[in-house]
Amino acid sequence: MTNGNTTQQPLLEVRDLRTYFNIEGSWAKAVDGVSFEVYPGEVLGIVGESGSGKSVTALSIMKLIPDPPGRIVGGQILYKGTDLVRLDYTDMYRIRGKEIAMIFQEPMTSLNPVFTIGMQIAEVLQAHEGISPEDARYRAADLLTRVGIPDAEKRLDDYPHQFSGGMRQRVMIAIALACNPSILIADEPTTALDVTIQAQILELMLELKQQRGDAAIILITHNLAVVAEMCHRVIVMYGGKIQEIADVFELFGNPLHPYTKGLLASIPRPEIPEYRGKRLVAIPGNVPSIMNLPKGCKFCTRCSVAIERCFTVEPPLVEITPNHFVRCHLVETTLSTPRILDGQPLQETMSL
Amino acid sequence: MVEYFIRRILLTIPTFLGSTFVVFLIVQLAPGGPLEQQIQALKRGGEAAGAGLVGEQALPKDAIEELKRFYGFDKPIWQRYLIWLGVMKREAKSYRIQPGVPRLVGEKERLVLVKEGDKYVLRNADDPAKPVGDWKWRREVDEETGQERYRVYREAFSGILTGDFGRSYRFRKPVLDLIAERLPVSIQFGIISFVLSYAISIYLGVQKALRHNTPFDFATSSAVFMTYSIPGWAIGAVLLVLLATDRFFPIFPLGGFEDPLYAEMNLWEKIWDRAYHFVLPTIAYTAGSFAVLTMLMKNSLLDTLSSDYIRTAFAKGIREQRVIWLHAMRNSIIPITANIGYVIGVFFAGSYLIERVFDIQGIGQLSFEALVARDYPIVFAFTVISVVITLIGSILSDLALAIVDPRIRFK
Ligand SMILES: Nc1ncnc2c1ncn2[C@@H]1O[C@H](COP(=O)(O)OP(=O)(O)OP(=O)(O)O)[C@@H](O)[C@H]1O
Ligand SMILES: [Mg+2]
Repeated sequence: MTNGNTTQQPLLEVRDLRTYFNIEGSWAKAVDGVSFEVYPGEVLGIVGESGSGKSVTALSIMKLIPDPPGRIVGGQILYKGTDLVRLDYTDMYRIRGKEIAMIFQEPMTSLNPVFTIGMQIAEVLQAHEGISPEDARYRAADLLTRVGIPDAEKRLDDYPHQFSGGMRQRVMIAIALACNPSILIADEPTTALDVTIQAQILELMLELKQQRGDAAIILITHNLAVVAEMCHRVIVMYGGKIQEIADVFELFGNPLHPYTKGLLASIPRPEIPEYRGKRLVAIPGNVPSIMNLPKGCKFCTRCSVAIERCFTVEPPLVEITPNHFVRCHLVETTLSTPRILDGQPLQETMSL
Repeated sequence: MVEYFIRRILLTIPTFLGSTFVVFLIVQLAPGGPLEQQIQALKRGGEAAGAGLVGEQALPKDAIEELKRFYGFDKPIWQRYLIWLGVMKREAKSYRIQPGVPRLVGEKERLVLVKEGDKYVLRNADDPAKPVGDWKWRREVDEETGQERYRVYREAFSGILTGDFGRSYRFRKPVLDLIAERLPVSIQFGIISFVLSYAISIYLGVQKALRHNTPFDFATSSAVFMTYSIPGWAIGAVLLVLLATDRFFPIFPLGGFEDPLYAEMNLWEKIWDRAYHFVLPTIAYTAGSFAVLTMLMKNSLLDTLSSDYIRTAFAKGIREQRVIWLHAMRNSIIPITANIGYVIGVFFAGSYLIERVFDIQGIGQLSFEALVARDYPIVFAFTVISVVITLIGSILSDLALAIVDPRIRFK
């Protein structure tokens, strides 16, 4: 798979997003200055260890950060030119589910236990397309069939507890695809599922792209094999910041950030001859708590090549080769006028 | 689901039997049980009749025997219980009879015991051809004198299941009549209190959840816990002083539950009058119930609102009002629904003190006074009614639960 067409106008532009959580009086910087773009037709992967801020980024785009304790304290999220961060709530209802849809990690709890599957699918159609209940039901049955649930007409009247985890995730996909959104955000959609079902679910998500070629998918995952399989471009996150962005081939073939290298070394890669037969190497240490991230590079505490500067000065996210951005003091750019993907740091004194 | 409820209803039978048996046992074994009560009553009756001081012995042994038989004390306790339930026949009517002498039984019927051959036979005294129905006779031997006696009697099922709760010792009226007089008032209060406390608690609970940790939340928490910690009758007394006596604002009536001219009012006036009399007592009744239900509602909704499927609903672009009142509420009322049975039980039992404060002739006063006076038939009847109401309440809870929660419905 190719085509990370980055010459087009982006669908979504996240600029210097900062989402903090108030934990016992102090602010935890779950996402701190994240900037990236999503282009029409692409599948953008976001990877990173647990707690790196992937979900918070996704939920910020949907404006679903629970407040309290969380809040988007800075930045912009431009969807087709409109800043979602400043959009008021009534307008946001028209975006969610219709323009940007989301699938969550936990299919077992993502559907409302007291309503029928049919109602939960039809509801989104009625909310956004103003169609009659009969039409909505008809379309719901059609959607269920399309996500591979046999006997759909009958199963519309079932409740979620009568469905297995994989089937519930199919229902979630049916809901997400119902209104042909231009962006589908999938937050670890297969983590909770059987390996055998994972591929089918991922395949179903690509269904959206069959419906509309310009739709984009943001796929959040731990699974680098899935990234290699599905994505055009990849964002690597750590400590609430983007550490590396690159085209999928570039990232797998030429990882530059020590953290990305660590991640890639921790998965089996039988397709690369020199890796074959080698032992997997885990990244030493644990993800530091976001309450006490290091002052300099967020990864310095676990980095095997860190120099003194890494502990005191945070490196910028610099374009090293065209469209390949890395946040590391040890990586030199090859470009004469490299782009830097960081906004001005927030004033520490700013009142939150 | 129908099957489930049939099973559920059948299960209440052992519960009913168990709980009534325990009460029966306690009352029978407690000192000053029904028999002693009745003996005391007879003695007092004797005194009042001017018979002077009557000692233990003075009560004719015969009369005591008679009483014992009437209450079935000549039988083991499990039989007494079955008789009391009305599933075993009891000697409903019983008269002494002398062979050859006609005896009036009931209103008009006269029976006679005649010797035919070497056997006695019971015949209608006026028309020997007429059948004697279910009247029977038996021979008894007096333990002390060894004399033979004869008795005609009729057996019948007569117990709580046939609606016979016996007669009140104090009022000398059938218990059922007494209860029928008092129950309507208590039921009205019960229903109103039940509906009000649920409606208000649900609404308040939702508002508190939506404004969690705001001044509104703190203020209402203090308010509901204050009303929770002050007993209802005390709130009632304060309300009476403030809003019914002419010392402050004489807005509401001082007591009773209807105007003396109630019978002559038209429908609207009746409804108005009832409402007018019900305001203060209803506040007193319900005040204490808000705390538990409101907090249950609030916590339940808070819990639900942080669940994944609510996030899904928002992610679908569903509007907040609909997410809260439809998606979240249907889940949050589940724990509250489970409480219905208990709340019904509490409200329908009435409250002696609140009824006293507002001078309402309800079931609460009747039962409390009966307990103090050891008027056992009423105590029994009250217990049975409470048990039945609680059982009905728990079935209603289950039914409501099944309606709101499909996971239960299909089990
Ligand atoms: N509701 C919340 N309240 C407080 N802190 C939160 C909340 N949601 C997220 N966080 C914090 O934000 C940080 C980033 O979390 P996030 O869920 O984005 O991680 P993630 O990269 O998605 O990890 P995972 O792979 O485990 O899903 C975490 O340290 C987490 O503790
Ligand atoms: Mg996550």
